[in-house]
Amino acid sequence: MVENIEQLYLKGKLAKLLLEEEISRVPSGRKVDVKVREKRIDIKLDSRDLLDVLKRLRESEKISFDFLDCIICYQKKGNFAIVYQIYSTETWQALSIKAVLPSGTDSIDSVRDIYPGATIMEHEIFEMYGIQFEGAKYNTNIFLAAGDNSFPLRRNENG
Amino acid sequence: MDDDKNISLIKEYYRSFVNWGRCFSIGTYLMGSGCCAQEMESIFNPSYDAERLGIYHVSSPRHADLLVVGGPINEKMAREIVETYSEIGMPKWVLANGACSCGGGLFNKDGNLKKLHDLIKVDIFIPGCPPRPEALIYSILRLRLKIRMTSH
Repeated sequence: MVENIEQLYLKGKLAKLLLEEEISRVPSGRKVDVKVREKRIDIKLDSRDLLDVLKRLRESEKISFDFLDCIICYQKKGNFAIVYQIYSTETWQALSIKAVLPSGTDSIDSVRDIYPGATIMEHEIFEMYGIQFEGAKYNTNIFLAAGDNSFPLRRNENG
Repeated sequence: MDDDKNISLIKEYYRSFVNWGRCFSIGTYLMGSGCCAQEMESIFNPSYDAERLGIYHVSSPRHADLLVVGGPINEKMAREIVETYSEIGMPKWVLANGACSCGGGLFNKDGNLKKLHDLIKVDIFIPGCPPRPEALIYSILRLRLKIRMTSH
């Protein structure tokens, strides 16, 4: 039992060290910030590289991040960012990805193919902020009243 | 030899029969703070009405089968959760409701908040910030399958 815990700890440590090298290179050549801290890993990237990085995190052999905890959205003067909170169920390493949308746009790739549980969380963000998730169609409202397209949490460009 | 085999078979049938009965009557004790607590209390409201599925609310942990923990867990809360868990009689099951109790949550930047699975054994984790009441009801229905499989 003790050996297992030690192995798990070492595996987690090693995976943390290798993660920075593994993720910081994306095919498009854009910048990916990876900050490895004691308790959690923070990643900041452009929203167009999101699916590529998430697939690599999910299918990684060293440490697989397979539990999507929550998705939140925030707005800063017309610019949107979406934060994904992910865990590895083996070592319970926490990881948060901040995907910054290009300024003036409001569409991002849907992650429902990688994490099926993201469906309802993306639906909530669509209803509240009006952000389009590509590859998803929403016919009815599930949080607001039927036919309400006012996007209550979305502010105008002056903030 | 045949008698021993028969007795063990009868015991096994009896256990599976008892567990089959257990899964239709789950006494639920809710514990938590913050927005998750408000969402999970609403499963006993008339609009969701979990009691029609055999999930009923109990006001003491000594009568409970299932402990549902929601919201952020600080050090003071962790002591209370462990104490409440020890009050529940066997067999008992635990659900972690929401992002904070699953693994610290979004606001755990400095690592002050505890994770529920570090304190007690957790059966099902429910993601979401906060999860919908339907998600909690669905996960309790999934727990029924697990209850049928256990041999207490």
